[in-house]
This record gives sequence, C-alpha cells and structure tokens, in this order.
Amino acid sequence: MTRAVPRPPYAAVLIVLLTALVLIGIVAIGVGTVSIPPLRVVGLLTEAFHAPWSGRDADPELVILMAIRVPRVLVAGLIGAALAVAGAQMQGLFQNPMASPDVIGTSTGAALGAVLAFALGLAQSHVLWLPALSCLGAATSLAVVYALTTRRGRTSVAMLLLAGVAMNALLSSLTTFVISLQWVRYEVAQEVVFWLMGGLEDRTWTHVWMAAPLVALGLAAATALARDLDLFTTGEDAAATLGLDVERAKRRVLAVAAVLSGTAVAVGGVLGFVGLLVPHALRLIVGPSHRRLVPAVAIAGAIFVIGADLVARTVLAPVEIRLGIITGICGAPFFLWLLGRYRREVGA
Amino acid sequence: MSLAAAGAGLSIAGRWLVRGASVTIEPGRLVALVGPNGSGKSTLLRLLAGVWAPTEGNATLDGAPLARVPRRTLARAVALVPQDTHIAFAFSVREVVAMGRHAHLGRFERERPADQTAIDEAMARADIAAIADRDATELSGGERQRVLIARSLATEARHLLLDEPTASLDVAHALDVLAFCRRLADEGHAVAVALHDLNLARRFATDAVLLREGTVVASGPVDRVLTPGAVGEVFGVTVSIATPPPPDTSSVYVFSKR
Repeated sequence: MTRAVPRPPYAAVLIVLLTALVLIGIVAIGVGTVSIPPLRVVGLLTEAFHAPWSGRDADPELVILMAIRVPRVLVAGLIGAALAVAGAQMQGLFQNPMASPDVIGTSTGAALGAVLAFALGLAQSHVLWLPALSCLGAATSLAVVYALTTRRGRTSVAMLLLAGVAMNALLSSLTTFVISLQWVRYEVAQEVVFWLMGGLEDRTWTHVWMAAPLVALGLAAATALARDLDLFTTGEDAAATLGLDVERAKRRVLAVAAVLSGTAVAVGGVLGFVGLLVPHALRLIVGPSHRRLVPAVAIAGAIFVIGADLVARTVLAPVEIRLGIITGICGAPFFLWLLGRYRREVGA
Repeated sequence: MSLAAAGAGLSIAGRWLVRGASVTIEPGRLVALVGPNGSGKSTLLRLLAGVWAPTEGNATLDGAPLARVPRRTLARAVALVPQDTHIAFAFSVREVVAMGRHAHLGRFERERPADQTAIDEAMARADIAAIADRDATELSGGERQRVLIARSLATEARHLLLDEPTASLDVAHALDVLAFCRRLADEGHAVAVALHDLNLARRFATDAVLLREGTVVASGPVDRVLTPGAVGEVFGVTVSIATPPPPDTSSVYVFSKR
C-alpha cells in the first residue's frame, strides 16, 4: 500500500522560509567584531533606507553595517540562491537527485578562470578581473562539454554527465598545475588556495552589483523553465510528445545553470554541497514540481549560505574559517542523515 | 482526422530501423503493431508521434507533414505513452496527469477550471481518481501505466499511441488496459498499440500491422493479418488459431520454433 504524499501547504512553507531568511539576515548583519543587537540593526537599516548613506560623517555602526556587513550578507544570499537553484535544475535535467551544479564542469571552469586571474596578476590589479575570468571559464567549459555531447542537434544527457566528469578532472588538474607554478610566489599561491576554499571576506557593493543582476536574471529564467523541467521526469520522448522542445529546453537549462553557478563561484569561490543538499532537502518538503521547488530552493539556499558564513566567521573569531569548509562540514553529515531517512522510507 | 505514415523510414548511422512503412491510424480503430523484437514497432510509433523525423517518406497529421505542424498543436492531437514508465521524482499522481495539459497552457499560466476538469476526467476514465494524491514513484507497474494513459487522455489528443503498454503487467491488468484502449477506440479515438501478446492483439484490435526487420509485411483487419501463415512466417514459429470457450474470442496457439 503506497502512502499519500504528505506535504505542508506551500504558502506556509514560503512564509516560514522568508521569515527565517529575514531573521538570519538581521542576526548575520549584527554579529561580528563589533556586535550590534538585532533591533538596532533594524533601526540602522531603516535609517540608511530613508536617508541614503553617504559614507562620511556617519554613525560608525552604520558605516560597519553598510560598508562591510550588509554587502557580505547580500553576496552570501545571492550565492546561496544561485547555487541551490542551479542544483535543482541539474537534478531535474539529469533526473538524478545526486546531481549538482558541478557535474557539467562549470564550477571547475570558473575556478580555473579565477586561478588564472590570480596567476596572471590580473586579480590584484582590478577587482572585476577575477569574476570576469571566472565567468569566462564557466562559459568555455560548458561550451566544450555541450559541443562534445551534441550530435545533429541532439544532446545526450548521459554523455553530458560523462563529459562533465572528464572535464572536471581535466580542469582541476590544470588548476592544480597553475597553483603549483605559483608555489615560489608564496603569497599568491596562498591567496589562490584560500580563494578556492570559498569565502566572503572583503566583499563590497561592487560584488553585490555584479552578482545581483546575473542571479536575478538566472532565477527569473529558472522560474520560467520550471514546468519544462517537470516534463523530463518521464523521459525525453514523453516530454516531446507533451509539446516540449526538448533540445531547446536542455540548452536553456544548461545555460541558466551555468550563469548561476559561474556567478556564484566568481564572487564566492568554490562552495560544495549547497547545490546538492538544498534542492534535495526542499524536494522532501514541497515535492518535486519545479514551479514550487525553484522559489523555495532559492530562499533556502540563501538561508543556508548566510548561516554557513555566520558560522565561518564566529566559531573561531577573530579567525575566519573558509566558507567552503563550513558548507562541506555542515552539508555532508546532513546529506548522510537525509540518505538514511530516504533509505528507511523506501525500505532499502 | 487521421494520422498516417506514408512510405516513412528512419535510418540512423546507415542502418534502417524502419523502411518504407505506410500505416494509417483512424478514429474508431485500434491498430495493433505486431512483430518480433527489433522489428521497428517502437520506431514506427515514434515516427507517428513526431518524436523522430523520418529520413524517407512522410508522417502526416490530416495530410500535413508532422515537421510542419507546430509542436504544441501536435501535442494536442497526438499522445504517446512510452514503454518505460519510470518516474524519477516523487510527483503525485495528479501532478503527473496534469503534465498532459502542458501544450494547453502558456509558460506562466496556471491550470484553469477547464484544465482541472480535463485532468479529473482523465483520472476518472483511467480509474486512478482514488490514488490521485499518491506518490507516483511508489505505484505498481499497472498503476503507473494507467497514470501515463490518464496523462495522455488529459492532453485531449484524439490519437493515442501506446508502446507495449502490457509489457510489465500481469494478465489481469493487461486485459484491463487493452479493454480500455478498445473502449477509447469505440468512442472515437484513433489508437495504435505496439504489442507482443498476439492473443491480446487478436482479441482487442480492429486492425493489425505486422512488421519484420523494419518493413510492414501485412496490414489490415486483424483477422486477415494475424493468420497462422503470416504470424508463423514472421516470428519463425508454428502457429494455429482457434476459438475456444468463451465464444467470440479467438486465440493464437504457438507450438514450437520452426
């Protein structure tokens, strides 16, 4: 006897998630070397909203808030939303809950681009070189994988997965190679390795303004493609006869996921498990329909990364733990717990 | 209103999967596609559904080549129920059936009352209304088959193509599914079913198309196509056809390999 699908009302889930996002955002903005209580944070933010912040002659707490904390939390939220939605899209496209934004090689492509930016001295010359080369790396990697797996206008999803694995191996070897060349320039090598572990220190409004439009565009496109992804669940032929242009849908989903994960790596470094874990967990709550999944996953991803960043900078304060380490340490056990739960459910 | 293949063929990498096939799927008829493994039944269904474009000849809907029929228009006219009924994620039964409305809805449109009615009716007809809220990944093979048939009904397509719907079903469920297909045909749908079971074909189909190695060997009314001679020839077995009790049913007896 199979059970009915138990799902809480979707609106309630969204309200809980949004409330949690606002609360953790306020806490994350308040916590740091200079601690600001949550109510004071709300007061200062309202003040900054009503009287545009000039940066000079301002309350020092307001300066800390607007110059350091707010952009950092915003970048964390954007990255979290981007990675989680890209993960949901990849899991939908590959019909596999174990897929993540890394599987098609865009994240490693972005990482190689970033490492090159450091090695060539570009990252140190202007703040935009790093994200620009990251995005270029992600796009190039996707283009190569896509071209290799597309014959006569048809892309094989199974081939895509295999080509992604090979691409990941190639690109991470190249990345390690570039790092090893830098080893004599100790500071550069250290900077690169640190960057690869993911982290949000010194993120400014420049990063926010750079990531925000791309992430917003990506989330809007992912929402628009949500129903298309649902149709993949019973196979490509079935999707085609239900009226979906399967190949075009694949191209669009890949492009959107690449923009989202490329942007995330460009401004935050490599963060594991967000794109795998968040969609997986939310699917258990709101069900697999991407129309419901995408918005919920975007909010939950933002919560997860803002929370992880909060942990990263408070646990060993004043030392910051690398964010990628935190997402891995928080993410992997949670994922194992989910697997255990899943096993009990299916009785495997 | 008819769906047809006219001398249609498909070659992939120099090998012909189907060659020069001519078949017509008409309202009120249940056409059984019969033939050994690899004879091109599934391929022919895919050509008729417009999933694959023929490399020779044509597949047409009311005379228009499928390639020139807009995808969404085609989806509202022809529905394919695939052989593989695997469902990857835990959609509810109702959500799977609702996917049948895809070609009726704009990208950001929600289901309207008319869509809800079509979904409810499709579920009622396929007798799955009682399991509407269940997890579609936890259903039995027979239930999943009915869910996908319901989804094809929700498209309101007049042409239904089913690829081996009885492959994973026990005898009782197989009888159910084919009786249901026949009822749909009697009510005016045009139905084509790829079938391995010759008895079910003989019992429920109005017409049959016998395939061997990608070519149509015979087609027409089922009792004139599925003859001991033709079936024996195509499958390489010795066959006799008899009418045992209950009356009005004929059965195909396969004795031995030739």
